Amino acid sequence: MADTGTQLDALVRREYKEGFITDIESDTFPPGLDEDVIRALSAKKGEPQFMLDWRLDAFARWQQMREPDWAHVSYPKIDFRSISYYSAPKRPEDGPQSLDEVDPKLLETYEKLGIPIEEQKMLAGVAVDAVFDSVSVATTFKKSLSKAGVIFCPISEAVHEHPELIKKYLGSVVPVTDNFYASLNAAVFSDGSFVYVPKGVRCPMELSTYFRINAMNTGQFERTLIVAEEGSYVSYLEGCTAPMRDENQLHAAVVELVAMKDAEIKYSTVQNWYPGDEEGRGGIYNFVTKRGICRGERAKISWTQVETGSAITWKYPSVVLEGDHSIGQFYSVALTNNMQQADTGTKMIHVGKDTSSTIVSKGISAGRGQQSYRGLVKALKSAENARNHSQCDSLLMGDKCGAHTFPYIEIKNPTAKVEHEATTSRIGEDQLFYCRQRGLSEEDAVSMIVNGFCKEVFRELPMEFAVEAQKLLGISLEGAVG
Amino acid sequence: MSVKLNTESCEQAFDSLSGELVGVDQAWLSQRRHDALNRLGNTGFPTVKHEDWKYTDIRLLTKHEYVLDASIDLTAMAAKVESSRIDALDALRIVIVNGRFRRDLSTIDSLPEGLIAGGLAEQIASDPASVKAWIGQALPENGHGFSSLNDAFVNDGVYINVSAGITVSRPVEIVYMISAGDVAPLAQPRTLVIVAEGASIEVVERYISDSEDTYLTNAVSEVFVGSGARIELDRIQEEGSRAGHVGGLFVCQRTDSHAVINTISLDGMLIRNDLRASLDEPGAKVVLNGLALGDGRQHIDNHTHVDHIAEHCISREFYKSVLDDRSRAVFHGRIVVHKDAQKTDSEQQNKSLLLSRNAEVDTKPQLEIYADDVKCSHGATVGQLDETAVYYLRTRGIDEQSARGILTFAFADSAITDISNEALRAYIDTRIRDKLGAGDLTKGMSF
Repeated sequence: MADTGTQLDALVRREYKEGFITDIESDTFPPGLDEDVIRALSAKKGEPQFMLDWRLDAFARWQQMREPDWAHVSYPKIDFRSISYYSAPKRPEDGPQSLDEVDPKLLETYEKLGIPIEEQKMLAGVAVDAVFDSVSVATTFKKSLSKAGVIFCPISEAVHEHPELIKKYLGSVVPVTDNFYASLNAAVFSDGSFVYVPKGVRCPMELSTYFRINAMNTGQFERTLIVAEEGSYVSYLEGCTAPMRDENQLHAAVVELVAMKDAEIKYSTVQNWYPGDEEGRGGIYNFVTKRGICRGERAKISWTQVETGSAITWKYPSVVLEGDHSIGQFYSVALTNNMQQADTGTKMIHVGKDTSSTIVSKGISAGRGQQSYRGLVKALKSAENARNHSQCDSLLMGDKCGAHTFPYIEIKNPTAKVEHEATTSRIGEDQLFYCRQRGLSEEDAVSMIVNGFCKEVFRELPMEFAVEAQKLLGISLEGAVG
Repeated sequence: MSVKLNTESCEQAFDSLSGELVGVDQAWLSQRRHDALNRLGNTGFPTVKHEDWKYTDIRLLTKHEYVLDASIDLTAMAAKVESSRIDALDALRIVIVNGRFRRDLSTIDSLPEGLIAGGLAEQIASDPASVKAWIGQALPENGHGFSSLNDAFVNDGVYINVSAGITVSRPVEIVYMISAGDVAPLAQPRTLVIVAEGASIEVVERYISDSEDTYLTNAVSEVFVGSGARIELDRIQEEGSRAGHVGGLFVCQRTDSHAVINTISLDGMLIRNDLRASLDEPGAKVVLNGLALGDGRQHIDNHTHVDHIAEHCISREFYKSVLDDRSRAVFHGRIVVHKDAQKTDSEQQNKSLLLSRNAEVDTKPQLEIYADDVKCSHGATVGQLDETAVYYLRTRGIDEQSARGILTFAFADSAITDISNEALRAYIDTRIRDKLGAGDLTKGMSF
């Protein structure tokens, strides 16, 4: 199988295709972090007093915290004082009203990414709240959304226009004290999306935000808050790519989901940030806190993620199942290649009666990638008849990578039924042989097997994303597998 | 001489006691003890802040003061040793009281050829080189405070050595007993089992006390399985109702060796087992089975760690727990497949049955894999009895309580099927049946 090795190497060595830097003048803070920076940040965004107080409180708490070191990843220590905490594209005061007003360079960037906003607008029916660096520059389909009563806007705008909702829900799922990175985010978050779906409304379209990290040395601290009122439904898509660069970038986002009685939130992510070069130089540090809470009966929250990028991923989308009969789901495909490291998984906290959760995690490790699944399933004393099924499979490609599984199961209720299963293997030579015998090339065979391995997760993705995800996986493993 | 479970107290006890320990004239042994004490000084005793002790709070143990050299009531002990005998087992018996070997209570007068079995202190005195070659070799470098404590005060215990090619036909039963009285003894037996190339032996470790006294057993056993050798080691924990038990068992295996370790935790207030198997050479196979039966306020923590270092090794792990009342079980199973351990075949299962509203189980099966051509899987389930199975038995005219008894017994009993000695299995069957109150219908049943 010497050939396979070479092909695999070639595929693994493929350079990052989305790597480029758009040269736009940025209005950027000098690096550093203290109270003044937070005050300046808050003032720049014209935030009301309550937001500033909230940020300062978070900052004070963050200073007392220690950076966590329990994850199965290693990286040089981050100097939080060498990061610039604000970067906005030029002319934010103008606030583009339509796509025509958007800086053509921005549009060019989207073009390169293959995200024609205009086409999406018309053909795909997707409203795009595109975040270029930290400030939302294009918000589309606002009208048809507002007709339905759905609020979908940058969180900085929501702070002004819907302060009562922000006061009520911001930090209600991920409190400022939650963890080191969540506290940092609360102190310095730049912008993000806010979604509010009123009672009984089924959001008429998939909501989508494309994040993009640009401008050298700018930490990205996105904050997303989605609230689904009783009986409502919303599907939210998040996708990312980033330009090629040498310095490590920190990304510490926070996503909060609140699902009331009978509401359903579906949150899908395709993450393709710059993973660093073959030696692991550059690449994004992705330390994200994502959590949803099922507040009412029969609420449902579903996380689906395809993680192919970032040098380091530290991410555990979680669901707190508070309402009786509520449902939590987690579907994940994670791929690590070259020097990438991922420590990802989920937490399902069963509080209410008859709650159920499903975890399907598929990990693919190639090159010198190190990947860990870390998950917690917890049934509290009150969680009568809680039900969980977890499935964590890992696929290994190459003898220098690693795949690890660290599930935690804590059960305090005897009626809970919890099952966890995990397997780790490599692509079987017999499987490959079978495909080759049928006339498929080695590469096609591998791609087919990998796609089959991930099928359960891809099936959960919305149409628009499923295509992109398969493409991404194909690109990331092109010619790679043996 | 008494001691508390903190670094200063242990150091003081060491200063005044180390001169009386066996083999003080052996520089290597004194060095070992000093090194271990230094390690203890560095790490201290674990707290719930340590990831490996997250679910086990040792404050129940640290609040007491323990006596290292408690006196022994010989007559009472002799009676207890006799009553603990499993007649059909027909074993060679080694008796340890409060961590010290008692030749007077043991039954090892006529050992078969090729077998050395006796006290560790005697062995150190008569043939120090035979101990020096092995002791500490199986311990991990980063052991926790308890194993360092055992190492620092290493003095007596058991030494078993089976020569190459010898098959020991009778099981060797080690009975670890406690004589408490007014004080809380700290027993720290050290057991070395060396099975040379092609040899085979069955060892039964029994930790027994029927007392309600407070005491702590801090045992460390090291097992070395030579090429093509075989060992079955059954560790049965029937400690007293106020007893703490921290037990380390470290196994090193060479080419094509085969080890079966059964850990049966029945009684004891707080039990923590650290079981580590290192598959150092190709073709080795290890089977780890465990059963934890908890009731009252028992806390049973099983930590297992299998290192696949060489290629073509096999590991099988099967742990079960049945928990009633306010008892709690912890399972932490870690399998590490190292870089060169290609063709590893590893399976791990942990199943728990909760019988009471206040019982709790915390399980953490872990796979850490650095090789690519491997087949590894693990599974964990937590639940209660299958109601359709209960219903099925009810339709057969079996009352509800008996039906549940049968199913619970079946669940627990399937964890001991790898115990090859029928007399021993029958004894454990009875113990399980009694503890679960499984009823007469289960008599004669075996799963």
